[in-house]
Amino acid sequence: MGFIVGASLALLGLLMAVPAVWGDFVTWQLGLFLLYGIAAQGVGLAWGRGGFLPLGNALFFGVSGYASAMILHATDGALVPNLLAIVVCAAILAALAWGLAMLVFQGRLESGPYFSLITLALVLIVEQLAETAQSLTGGFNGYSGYPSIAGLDPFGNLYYLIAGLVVVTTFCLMLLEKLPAGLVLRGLVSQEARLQTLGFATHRVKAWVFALSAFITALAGALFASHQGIVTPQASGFVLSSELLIWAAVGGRLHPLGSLLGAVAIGFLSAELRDTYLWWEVLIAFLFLAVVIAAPGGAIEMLSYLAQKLGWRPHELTVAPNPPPPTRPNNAAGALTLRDVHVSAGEIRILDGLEFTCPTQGFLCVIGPNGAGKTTMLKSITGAMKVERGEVSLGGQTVTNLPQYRALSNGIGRKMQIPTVFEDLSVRENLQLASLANRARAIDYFRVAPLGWEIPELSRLLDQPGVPLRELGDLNAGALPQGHRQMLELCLTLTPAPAIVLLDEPTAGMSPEETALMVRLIKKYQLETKAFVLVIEHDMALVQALDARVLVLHQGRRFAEGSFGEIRSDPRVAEVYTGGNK
Amino acid sequence: MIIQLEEVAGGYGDTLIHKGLSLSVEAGKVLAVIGRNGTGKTTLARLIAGELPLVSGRIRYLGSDISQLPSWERARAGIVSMPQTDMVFDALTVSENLALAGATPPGSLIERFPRIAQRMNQSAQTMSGGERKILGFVRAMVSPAKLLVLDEPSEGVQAENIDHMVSSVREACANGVACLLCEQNIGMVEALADAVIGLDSSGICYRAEGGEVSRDAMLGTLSL
Repeated sequence: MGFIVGASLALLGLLMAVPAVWGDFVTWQLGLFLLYGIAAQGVGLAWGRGGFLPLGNALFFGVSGYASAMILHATDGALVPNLLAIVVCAAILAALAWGLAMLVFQGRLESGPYFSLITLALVLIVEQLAETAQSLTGGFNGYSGYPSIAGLDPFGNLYYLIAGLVVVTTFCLMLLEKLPAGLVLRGLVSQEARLQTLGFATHRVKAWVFALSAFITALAGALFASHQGIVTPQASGFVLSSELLIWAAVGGRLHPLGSLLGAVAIGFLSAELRDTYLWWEVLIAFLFLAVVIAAPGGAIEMLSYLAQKLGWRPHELTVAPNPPPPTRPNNAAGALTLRDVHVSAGEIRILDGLEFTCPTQGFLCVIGPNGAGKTTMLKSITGAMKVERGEVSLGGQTVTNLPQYRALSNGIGRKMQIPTVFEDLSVRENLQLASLANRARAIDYFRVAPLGWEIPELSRLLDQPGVPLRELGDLNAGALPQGHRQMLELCLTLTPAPAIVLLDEPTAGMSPEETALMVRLIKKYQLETKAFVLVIEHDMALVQALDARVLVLHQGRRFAEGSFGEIRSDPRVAEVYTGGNK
Repeated sequence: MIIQLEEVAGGYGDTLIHKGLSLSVEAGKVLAVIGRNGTGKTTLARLIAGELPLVSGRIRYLGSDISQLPSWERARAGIVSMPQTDMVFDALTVSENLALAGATPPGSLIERFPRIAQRMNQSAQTMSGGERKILGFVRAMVSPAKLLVLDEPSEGVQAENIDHMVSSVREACANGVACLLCEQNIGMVEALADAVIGLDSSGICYRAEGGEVSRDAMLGTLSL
């Protein structure tokens, strides 16, 4: 926290010194580039922390600029009404952005090309409108002839207002990064599907990110109107939108200071080169290519790498351990029942009328030949695959085809077949993220304390001898070998304390001893929580060790069911599946 | 000797996983590499396939030094690798996946894995985890190989199909192919390996050949 305050104060000091050192003109130029920088921060936030690429963010910049210019005109620049109007206008644009993002992202992972293309189309439309609606916007010549806010001189005191806004947005964005909300955003970019199984409605998260991005950009656009004394269609155009991207990319989209640096550095460089060098745009383009190829994280990444070589250590937030709130009560409880469930992938029917009622607690092992529909059964329960016919219900309440992120609120946790963890996050951050799941309220995402929540379910797993995750806390989860990933994902799955645990081949790729450890962990959890645990396995020793009921799937249907001994001695089962030992 | 590693060191970035590993595989033989998680089986497979750069040491293949050869040239030279994850092209159909291997699967292979023949026009991403492993395995088996590098082919595969994998590899070895098999499934190793090395965090902790290979000793190297 001290680091963020310090960095913000340093930035403030630096900006305050500019007028005295470099004079009015440079200050005026810097004011413009800082406004662009704030808009680039908005783009960087959406791109780097939301994982979707907005191609039309100048839309918010320009529309806010026009609105501010018109209100300045109507109120003769009076300070309070205009400040109010700027915030209200930015909030309206943010609300529109939120709505658009909700529409686009609902029901799909990532954004595909849709989001980028839609924002591109919108910015083209707005630019066209600004050019055509002459009576309103002044058309091609722009809207001008209004006073600046509170009559502040664009070559003088207006700069301080801009500098103040820069420091505020930078401080807030850096703070966000350190809060649980920032952790959720990094998890979102790293592994969206996993975040959904932890109960996060990722489309909503992305909508808030885009709203914040629009809000910041609109604030900058409003001050742009005062700074320039004219708003032209270019301010809401495609070219500015793409420049925002370039600034964010070159400076570093993953850090608010990066986007700012990109806009200011390229701004001054262009201003300098434009007058002296005919091919300056080509030069800037090459600079863009060079930075993006050499350092995908942008200039700020190179700077931080250099600083670390010189002995600087990035600031690590330490949070005192503290007790978490209880998990949210489940929306549904009772026996999990599948009735006549049909699921297809393209032309292939995978589940073909699966009927089964699970016990309310204890173990069930699902076995069957490769391609029998075991994983699909789990996917049909959590909503990851669409049930075409039939019903999945929980204690009599239907949960058929609910979105994946709702599964955990019904008490269902799932571990995927290919161990899926947040690869770009450290092991510790992975576990912190899981600790938020099913416990955090909205306010908790903006407090530091939840990062120190000590979840009893998790501690009991980590304290087991042989579990190496505590020692590996600082390591990126992407660097973990397969078996450790399995263990980490098991912890991610069990930390929110689900009452129904679906484990898809939890010991694949593990040695017999590691398998035994996993069995211990799973058994311990079941014993302590009285949960129902469904395990897909090929290893008969594990099935036996769990002392579980066994369900045999074959060709998408229930083929047999019984105790381990009954299934072992069933000649019909032996015909389709023998199972093996490690 | 098909492949020979001399004091090979390599890993990820600054983190060295192997710090001087030597081994060799003869034509027609299977060398199994066992070890707990994190001891570097996958890293070893990737070093041989050329997906990770050597930090030091040398890899000889058919007598020539391939230490600096990029992975696609190694693949062309007959080093066929089946990675542990992402072993198939999800967006392609089964037959397209196999077509990329450059040959059609022989009848014997199709008989062992009839699912593959039934699913020729299905896209690989709609197959189950185990079926994808089998497809990745079949693709590796039909590729023109002198050295097969198989990283945990048995993971998520039912016992019958593991047995079929064993007989397929045996058949390839009878034709002079060498195989490096990274596995946790001791049963598969027992059934297939001519020699075994066990890895732990400090390097090779166990070597056995032919009749010396014992299940108990192998389980010993896997325990903490």
